[in-house]
Amino acid sequence: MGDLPICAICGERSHHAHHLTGREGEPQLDPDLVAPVCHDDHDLIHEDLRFEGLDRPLVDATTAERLERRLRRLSFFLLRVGETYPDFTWVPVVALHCQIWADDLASSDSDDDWSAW
Amino acid sequence: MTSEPHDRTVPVDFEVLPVAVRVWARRIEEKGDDATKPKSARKRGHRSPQRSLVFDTETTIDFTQKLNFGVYRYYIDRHDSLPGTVCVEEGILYADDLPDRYPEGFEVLYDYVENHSASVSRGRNRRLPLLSRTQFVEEVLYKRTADKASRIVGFNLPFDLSRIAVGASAARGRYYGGNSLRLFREERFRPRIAYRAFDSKSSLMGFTLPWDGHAKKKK
Repeated sequence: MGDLPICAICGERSHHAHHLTGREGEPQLDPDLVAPVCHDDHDLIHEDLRFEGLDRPLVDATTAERLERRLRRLSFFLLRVGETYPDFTWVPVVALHCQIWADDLASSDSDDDWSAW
Repeated sequence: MTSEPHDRTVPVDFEVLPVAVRVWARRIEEKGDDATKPKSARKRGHRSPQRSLVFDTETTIDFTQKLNFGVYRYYIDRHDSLPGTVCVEEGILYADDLPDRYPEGFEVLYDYVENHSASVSRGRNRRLPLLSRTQFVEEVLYKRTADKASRIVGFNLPFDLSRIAVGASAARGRYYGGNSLRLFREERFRPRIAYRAFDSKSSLMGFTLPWDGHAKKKK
């Protein structure tokens, strides 16, 4: 038990690994990009994602859509971290910028710009 | 000519009115003190997030008190935080017949949502939805509360719930003696909300099994 990392949100011992960016089909978009979280906070984060419609895996997504999904999911995770640690004022700022970047991606009308990715 | 300080004051006739102040007092939590936490947070094991739907309605001022419009907020909070901290959605609902019955009033609501944003927590969607009663009970009341352990919060909630109901009948079972409110026009797979008043201030309230749920239970 002592070797368990602490939850990124509440600081208790974590038993779960939250994949920050979600799935496309079955595989994770970024399998190694995980944050340690406790069971209750993992539930809370996924409740947020369900509410925002970000919990379902992407299907046949473009590069821009994958990147948009990554940014939005990361944003809602950081918002919860920021709510728990109000002294870390930079955390919600990063979260809000993730949303702005995601909005920029969503408003781009073509995937041609991303062909090189 | 000298004058005393009290001479500078101008006597004013005023009426003394009683002042009432209502406050929300929070007990200061001491280390290891679990008494201030909700019962669900005290017990070990899985603790779900707290989901709360807060809503209020405004009605006509005649004796029928028909629904005109209402406002709602939906909160998702950590299990151990104060409920009502993180607002994730705020919106307005209106009576299904309001655009026909009172178009000027509906226009005011429409203009409001066009020109104002929702007072939600940082980073949440600030769009202010305008939903009809039917959309509200289906998209918000049912999807956010009926299948989850959510709270529905309101002052004199049975009154507000009855304003958004499309029918009512005498309740049965554990709510016997109370009322069963029909919220959905097509309710085969949708529950009703039933309540039974204990006294003028408290009621037992909950979703009933949908019609199809009764059928499955009997099998």
